Amino acid sequence: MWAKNFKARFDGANGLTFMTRAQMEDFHTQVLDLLNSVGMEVQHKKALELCEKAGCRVVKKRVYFPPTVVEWAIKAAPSRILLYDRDGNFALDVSGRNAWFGVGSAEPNIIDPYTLKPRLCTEEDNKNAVKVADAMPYIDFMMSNCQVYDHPITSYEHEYAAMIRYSSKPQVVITGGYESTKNVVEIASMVRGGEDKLAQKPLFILYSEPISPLVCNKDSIDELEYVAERNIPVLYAPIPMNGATGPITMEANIIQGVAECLVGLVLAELFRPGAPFLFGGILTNMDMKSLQPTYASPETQVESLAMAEIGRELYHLPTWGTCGCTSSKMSDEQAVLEGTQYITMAALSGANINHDIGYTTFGLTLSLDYVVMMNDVIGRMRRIADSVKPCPENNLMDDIKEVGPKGHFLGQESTLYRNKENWESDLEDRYEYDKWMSAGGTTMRDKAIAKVRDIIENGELNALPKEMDDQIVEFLNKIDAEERKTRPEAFADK
Amino acid sequence: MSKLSELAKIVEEGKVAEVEAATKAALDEGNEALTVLNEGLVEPINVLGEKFRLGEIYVPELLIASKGMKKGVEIVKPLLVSGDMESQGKVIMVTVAGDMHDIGKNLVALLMESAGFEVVDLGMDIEPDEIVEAVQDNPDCKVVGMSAMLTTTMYAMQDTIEALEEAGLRDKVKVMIGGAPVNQKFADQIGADGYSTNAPLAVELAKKLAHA
Repeated sequence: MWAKNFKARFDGANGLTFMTRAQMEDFHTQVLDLLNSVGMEVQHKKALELCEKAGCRVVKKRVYFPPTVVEWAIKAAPSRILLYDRDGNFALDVSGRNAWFGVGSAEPNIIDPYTLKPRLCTEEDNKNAVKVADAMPYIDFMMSNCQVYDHPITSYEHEYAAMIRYSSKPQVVITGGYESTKNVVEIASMVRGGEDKLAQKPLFILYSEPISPLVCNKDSIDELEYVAERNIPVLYAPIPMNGATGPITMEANIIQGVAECLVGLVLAELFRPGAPFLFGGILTNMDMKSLQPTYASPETQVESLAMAEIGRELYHLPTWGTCGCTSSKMSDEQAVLEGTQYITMAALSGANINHDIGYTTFGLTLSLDYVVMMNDVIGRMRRIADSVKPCPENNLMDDIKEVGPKGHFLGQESTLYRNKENWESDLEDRYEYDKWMSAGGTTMRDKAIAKVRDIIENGELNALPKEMDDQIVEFLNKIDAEERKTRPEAFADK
Repeated sequence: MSKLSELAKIVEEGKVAEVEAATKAALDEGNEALTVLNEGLVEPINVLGEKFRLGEIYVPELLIASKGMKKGVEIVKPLLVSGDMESQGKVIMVTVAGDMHDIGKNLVALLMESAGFEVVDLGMDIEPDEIVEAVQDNPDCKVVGMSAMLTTTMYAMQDTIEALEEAGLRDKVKVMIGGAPVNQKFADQIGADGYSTNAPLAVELAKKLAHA
């Protein structure tokens, strides 16, 4: 309906920028110096060999990356990622300033939709989370949610299965090393009809991350290697927390974060030149009283989106962002403030794949009513991105001249037909007080909670054909049987 | 103001570079080494620790002041009679096998030191048998603190508790756990003695377990 395609927006303006080109170049120089003189620890034998072969200086597990290798990798990666949905239709143009939004990720807890209290996630929550997100018109992609506590090893595969069984939206996927990555690729290939078809029409981007400061652990590189070699898109998002695992200022944290992400890019391109790579990080400060990441402070927003801007403007890469999240424990005023502000900034700045819609308690707890409210914020931003375009169809000069002085426009045909373009939401109330009271006097949050319950109870599942669904369930049963053998103590009381 | 009070003020204000001279001045003033330790060095950190617990100061203020305290302790320690230095006890801190995340564990370790614990930090990705070895090498250790960030590594905590049982050491130490994927239910499931949701609470728990 509205600005699905961001190319047309803000004609004449450039959206939001945080830096001049010269400032971005300055950052880039510092990054190259850091990678050249300090480098990164790379805990992966094959990666170390490839780095050395490419011209890096390797001392045990420390790799020093010369500027030539880093800039080669930047040029080698493609400028955009084309994501296709479950049916094989082209869905998301991950490039330029196109901002897409998705839920996420990896929460161990959920706000129970009925008691409204936090508790550990279950398999049922996985399904409901996908169902709710699938019903949201402005949620563009799914991301691994609801860590299933009852599956200490196979939770990742269960999270993935829920996304592909109950929604056709493209995905961002979290796995836990080689085995789970392999399993997820196998499930996706089943649905696509083959690994080659999955590579041709990517359904998901794999999420991997280093450990700040400056460590690439083995599991993260195993995951990166597995998908890069198969031409499946990957991201390698560092999460340095200012003052804790990263330096305190935004500028310094950007330098460290960009460096850590670029090492992921170098490795991806060494594993397979031309591997599709999504550039970005989650730069967030640690609150020095609570000792927890803030996830949505003003500094977090600026440094994370500035990093994405460098990725787009300087490196010409598709980018990763975060928004619609909060350190609040539920979808209260703080949550709405933080979520709305960050979504607005991300949409204006134009980071491409923006995750964490619905994330409360700095990632510990998913709130589905928060997802529903943030969906509205995204929709509003899309409407805002329509901006204004003077042209005969929009100028309505005939109407203005026809109505003239002292008339009104309520009965005009243009009013009737063009009013449909205006934003409306069943979560918002625009009536006067008495009318609102007589209709129940409910708040936006009340309505969001009711909507979540309604979707869970009455919504339709965007399910796969039964035969395909059964195949996936059979696969899950197989890996769960292995899980029970590996960790019998986790199932002792069941 | 006496030199002793000046020292306490300097430590509390985090003026690390001035602590050495101030400690010597407090001793030269005629104060007993134990008095300089307790009133000039430990007490200001206790004050800051309480302020941090109440959300009145930031963690870097506490940690930098602790650095100052340690400088003063180095000067005073050789002058003390053995047994004078009261420690809360010895704690072994680790991030478990397969896990490379340690900022949480580092924060807890630093706060424990500030609270008067002697901390043996083994680092990250530590196998159960290495932890058992460390407990054997430190018979005065009262508490083992384990941290994990991933659901795939948290079961190493259970492996470690089993390894301690097998080595006949389980009743010699109290085991506490923390980290994003773990919770009270998991702590109970694996037979840990305690679980805490954040670093300051971990220190309170450690005090309770160490004196149990």
